[in-house]
Amino acid sequence: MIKASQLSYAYGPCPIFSDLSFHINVGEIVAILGPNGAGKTTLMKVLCGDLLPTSGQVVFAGKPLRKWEPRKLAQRRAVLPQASTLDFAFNVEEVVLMGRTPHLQGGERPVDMQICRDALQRVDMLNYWGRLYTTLSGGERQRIHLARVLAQLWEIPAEMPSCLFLDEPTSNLDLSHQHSTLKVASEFVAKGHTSVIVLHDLNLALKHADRVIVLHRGKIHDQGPTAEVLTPDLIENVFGVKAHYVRIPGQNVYSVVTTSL
Amino acid sequence: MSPLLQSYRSLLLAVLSLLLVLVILFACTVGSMDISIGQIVHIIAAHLHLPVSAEGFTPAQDSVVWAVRLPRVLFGVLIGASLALTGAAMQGLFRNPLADPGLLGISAGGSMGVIIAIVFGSTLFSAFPLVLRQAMLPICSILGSLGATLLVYNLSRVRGRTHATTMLLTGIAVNGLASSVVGTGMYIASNEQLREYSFWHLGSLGRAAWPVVFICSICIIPMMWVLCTQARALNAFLLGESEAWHLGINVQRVKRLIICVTAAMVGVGVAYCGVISFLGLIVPHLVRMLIGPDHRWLMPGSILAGAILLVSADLTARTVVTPSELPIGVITAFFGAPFFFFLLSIRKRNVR
Repeated sequence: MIKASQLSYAYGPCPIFSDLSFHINVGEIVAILGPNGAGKTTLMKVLCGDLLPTSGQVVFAGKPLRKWEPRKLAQRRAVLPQASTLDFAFNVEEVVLMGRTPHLQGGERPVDMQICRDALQRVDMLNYWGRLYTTLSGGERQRIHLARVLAQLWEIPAEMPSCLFLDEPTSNLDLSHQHSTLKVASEFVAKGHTSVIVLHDLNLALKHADRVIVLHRGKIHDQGPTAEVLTPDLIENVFGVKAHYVRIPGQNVYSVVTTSL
Repeated sequence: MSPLLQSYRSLLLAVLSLLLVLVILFACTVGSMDISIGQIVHIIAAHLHLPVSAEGFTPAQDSVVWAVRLPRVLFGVLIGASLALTGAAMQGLFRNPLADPGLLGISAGGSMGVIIAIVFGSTLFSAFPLVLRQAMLPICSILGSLGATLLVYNLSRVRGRTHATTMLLTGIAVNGLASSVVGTGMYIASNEQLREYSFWHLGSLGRAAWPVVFICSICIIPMMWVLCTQARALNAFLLGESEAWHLGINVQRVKRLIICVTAAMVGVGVAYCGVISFLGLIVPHLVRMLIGPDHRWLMPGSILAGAILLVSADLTARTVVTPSELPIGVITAFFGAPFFFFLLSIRKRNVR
């Protein structure tokens, strides 16, 4: 789905990361992990085409990213940014309908309204229909934007795999919505698509991500299947904390607990 | 969007249209000569070769309405609509409801062009034929507006993208530069040139005549149409520039288009009737309160409301101190500035 080769990016003279190469396959959730300032968000911006890499290239669905026409690209990939600032008093459903922008020629069709309804239902916010966006809390706004990006990639056939980029989607959310957000991403990927997620919470990565890419000091420290990569050693080296795996009682599931060194 | 909301918005646009027609007719009745609305309708119908009797009005009334009042009112409609629409587009582009074409230095650039044309025109353009010499003032104003906007736009581009904050700050610098040029021009201007400049500077629809109305319609109406086609892109811009790009909008192209079209529109308007401040700021605000922030409704609403407000302001300008008249910019600023303070105080209260 996405092939990155020898990607480097620098803000002026400051290199953010250099020489990153990796693949992201159709049908997997890949989490990008790393401490603050490791270049996770910048990497995400390069992968979704916001920023042009200083060198190297990104191939998206078999075609170099910069050769994609914006509208065609938007029909295949959606991006949920860390925080969206929208100071204008739209209704909730109008914000979600904006996700349909790349699919529309004239006005909205009834099918777009239905998709908007379904997407709001998926994030558990259908009862907010008609509310003013500006009256919502941070977490509620975040879920509205999740519905918007879901609406953007709604019912795209699996032969045209698409990619959902989520940049720290759980930052404003309570515990149960953190899980439900990642479950929404899993359901999306299960239909034959892909999702790339920047995460901080190692446990969420363990539970939901198929593979992880660990960034550290502008390099890929390690990448591979989540459980194999996230060893206590790696966590100590990259994040500077001591990690212990604890078995959840009654289940064959492990959780990672961290303490300071 | 529920059907109820949709019909509410359509109804609102219909009401505004009706109001505009009434304001146009009413504005034609006001002046030193008494003419009733019925007579106005008769006169207009007669000129449009509609089958009405030519009995209900005198030739004097006919010439006052047709040659003086109607072109002025229609000119007001055109300029008001274009100023308000420009304001709506700029506020969308900058995602800032306090943005205004004036902030970008567009009007200041126009003023700069005009003072140059007035002060140095007689020497610079003396070799030109008369027709061209008369056209130099509008041409200089348009060039000034476009030049200022291009300067702001190019200075504020960082790595191929424009940052709204940088752009607004550069706009402030351009405003400063323009006012220094205008100040220098006024210092070396003769008394007569100074009077000409200050009359123009404060704005007036007094220049209106059919040829001016005609030229302005040809320039402005197609540009208004172009701006309205960008409504959906502007909606996406409200989410942010990156988000608009994620939604498939060709951000740089849309931005360039909107900047050039708004600069040209303001340039044309400013050339023929001077600086009319605050209309572009206030009208989109009022309309947004009534109709919501969706540009597909906001833009037509602003066109109608801008026309209504400017025709009313002109009506005030030419009646409060009869037989003389006030510059229209004085009226719009007099009512606009307090409204602007009111908006700022609301924003202050809303900051949490």
